[in-house]
Amino acid sequence: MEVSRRDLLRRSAVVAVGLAVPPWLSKMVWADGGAAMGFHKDVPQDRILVVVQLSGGNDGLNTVIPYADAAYYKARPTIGIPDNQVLALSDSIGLNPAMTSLKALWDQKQVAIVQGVGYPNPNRSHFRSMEIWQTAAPDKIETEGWVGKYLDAIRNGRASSLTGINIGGEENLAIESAHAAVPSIQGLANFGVIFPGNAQGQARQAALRQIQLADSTAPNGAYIKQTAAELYDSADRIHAGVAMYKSTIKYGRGSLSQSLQQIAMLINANLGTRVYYVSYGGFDTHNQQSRRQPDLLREYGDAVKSFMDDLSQMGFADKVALVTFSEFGRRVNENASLGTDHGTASEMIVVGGGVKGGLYGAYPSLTDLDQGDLKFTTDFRSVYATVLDRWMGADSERVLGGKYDNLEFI
Amino acid sequence: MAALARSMQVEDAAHLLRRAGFGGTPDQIAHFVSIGSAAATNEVLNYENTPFDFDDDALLERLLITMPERIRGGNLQIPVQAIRLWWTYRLLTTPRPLEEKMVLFWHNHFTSKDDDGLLMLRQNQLYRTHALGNFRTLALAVSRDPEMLRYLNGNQNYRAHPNENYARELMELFTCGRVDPSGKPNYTEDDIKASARAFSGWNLRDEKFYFNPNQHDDTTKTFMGRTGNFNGDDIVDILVSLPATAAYVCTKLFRYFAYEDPDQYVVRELVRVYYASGYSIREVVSTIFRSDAFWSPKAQFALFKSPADYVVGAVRVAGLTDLFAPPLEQIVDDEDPAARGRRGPSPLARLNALTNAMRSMGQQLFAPETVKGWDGGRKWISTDTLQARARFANTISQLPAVIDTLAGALPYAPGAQAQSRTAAFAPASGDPAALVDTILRRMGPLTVSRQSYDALVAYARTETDPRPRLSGVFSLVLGTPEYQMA
Repeated sequence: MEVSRRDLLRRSAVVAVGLAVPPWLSKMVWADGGAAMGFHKDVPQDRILVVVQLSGGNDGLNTVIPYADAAYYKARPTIGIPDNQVLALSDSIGLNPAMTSLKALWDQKQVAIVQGVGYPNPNRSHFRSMEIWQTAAPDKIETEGWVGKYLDAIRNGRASSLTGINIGGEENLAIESAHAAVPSIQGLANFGVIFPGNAQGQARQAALRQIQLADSTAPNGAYIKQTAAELYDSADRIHAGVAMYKSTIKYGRGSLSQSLQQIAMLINANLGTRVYYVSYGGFDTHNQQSRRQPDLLREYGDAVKSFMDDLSQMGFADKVALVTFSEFGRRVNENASLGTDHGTASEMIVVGGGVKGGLYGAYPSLTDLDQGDLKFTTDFRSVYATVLDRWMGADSERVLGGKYDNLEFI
Repeated sequence: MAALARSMQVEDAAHLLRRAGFGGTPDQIAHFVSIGSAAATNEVLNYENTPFDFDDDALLERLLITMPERIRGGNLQIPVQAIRLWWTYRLLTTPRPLEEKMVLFWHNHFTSKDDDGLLMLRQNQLYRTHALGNFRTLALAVSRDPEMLRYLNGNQNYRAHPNENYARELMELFTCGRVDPSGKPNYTEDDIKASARAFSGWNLRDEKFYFNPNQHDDTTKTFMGRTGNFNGDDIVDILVSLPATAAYVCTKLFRYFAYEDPDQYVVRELVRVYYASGYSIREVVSTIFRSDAFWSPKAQFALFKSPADYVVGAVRVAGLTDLFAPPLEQIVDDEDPAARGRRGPSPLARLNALTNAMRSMGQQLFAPETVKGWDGGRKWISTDTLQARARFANTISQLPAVIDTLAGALPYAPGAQAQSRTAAFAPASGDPAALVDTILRRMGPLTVSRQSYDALVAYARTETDPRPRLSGVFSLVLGTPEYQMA
């Protein structure tokens, strides 16, 4: 694994970059480099992936609901969603009633739902299961994430740090890479701005920039200068890009809406970013689930709908796929606190203009259980592999360290 | 063997103080220069001789008062943030910094991560007990450490279903490493399986190590080419005796204290000491501090400051310790009536700000991102962390109490006294270049590039208001490329 990745990078480093590429893009390896790395030549290398992480373990059963299954209502006498309220997607499966916005996208054939996604020997610890999803490694401790490995594969050494962007300040193993840190951006206006905007602050800001961009002969001075150059260059491009952003789409005030709007601004700024990662938390609904989960799902659906509408307006709808996961689903039976405890398999939701809408994979049985939990029917690495191979045009085997069947949603 | 062939200069003393601690104040540097390198190195290494009457319990009690809702049903539920604050306070105040520097080393070597403050505290104390002790003894203790048993699933290691997590990391990260310098594996998957069986039944009961004979695989195993009815202790014994372990641990220590790429003869000497001393960490570290390599120009400013180095170092070197680690009675709940009416952030809020700053720079103590710990080196510096460092420097430099203290500690002209601080900062008497020189000397001594120096002086000339000028130059010096290095 180590060796093949190093090998990859070495090869990518010698790939000549065409002169037609804008100067800031020239630091990156695009289609040419992709071909040299065994990437799929027929997949355009300007597509974007947005990963939405629902932290806390979203209850998949009350998100994509098997409303025709009596076992569902038997297991959830109190918190089960009545079948007449479900937003039907088929004669047996429907969305939580709070997800009207997502249903609208579904009706536009932009939503693929992969059912029963999980992995063998499921771990019910938030920490460990999230780690498993983020590293795509259920069996061993990995120190790099699957997004990080993908970015390492397409990046030329440590050139442009904006190839991937993490929105928000949360620690995130998925973007951890061997070669270059993925920036976490917590507010576009603040990126690269250290000091207050008054005259005193501006004087310091200007001085700091000069100081950090100075040619230092100190050990590692060149490295620090390079990082500083990337920082200030990225900040300039982000600020310029944000200034260009115009949209008639109204996003909600929820944190996911705000984050996705930031991503829309960055996409509009055309920074060459291939992967955006954003986390949205609060799904650990051990008690009073019906009071909390609908709001979270509504925010999720509304945010994604606004985002997709925005992308359509800027002409990017076919260039962006949004993939949603949670570290686990929840127990089939509701608990005594009107909530649900940590479980296993759940669905993944993929949204985008280039996505073939529909239901994929088999909904797990609610009666053939493993210690009270659903048995997964699709390995999450198959979903990752599909996205990597068919959407990003990457070599999923190299990124995931194994071959996984592709699904048909792309 | 003399620690340093030539007589100790200010730069040498500062170098030793940065590496064996978090940097030196002018007084500490002057003291080391006066006693010379051999005595200074001895003083650093034999830190037990430096008294440190630190009441850990009293501090913890203070910190927990501020988090009362976490004490539930009479059970001590210590949030890990309280332990983080406790350790940070210790880092700021200890007169024997090598001890804490070694605890940081072991925290990043035998990593763990947990929200349970009490277990993290006990593990941290274990690393302090063995900070410069015996590597074998330490590895044996770590194998029984309740937090480690939890973190790497020793508490789920049963005879019928051996859990391999600890066995794997014990070899890959804690002792021999995965491969030798030529890339050849140091062990096989079968070795991991055998080791896991040897550790089976090393479980937990009431949060303490518990050897469960019913869950221990009491049969013959073959491990690293040897066969016997091994238990965990035997595995540790075999591992610490391996040449690969000696090279791995010695090289890691050298990289931590001197520079990244030691010559083979340096490692060979450290390995020799490792065996000759029966795995004494103190002897290995002592050999590093007395080596030509350590004092060579190559070592000077060759390491990246970790966030702990950066944050703790800035506070200690600038003489700000009392502001961030105040006397215990000043640590009160911010909701407390006694805290009302105070201007600016409370002492507790300041201490919290330091841990938050370290986190933003990528080093949340007690929560290393992965089991291999923080990579360190170049990875400390990214577009994010460069911003986080500059933000921290700016934030502390704006605190009025910090400016007051700096004004007292950094008189413009050599010899100027603290009481003349008002006069010293009157624009008429302030030579901007002298201010820059003074702060560079204090925070290093630091030699920055011509361009950076000119930018600092130009800034100091345009900012004519003395307090913002002092604050600005201080924060900008902390932003120089040179200051990122230790």
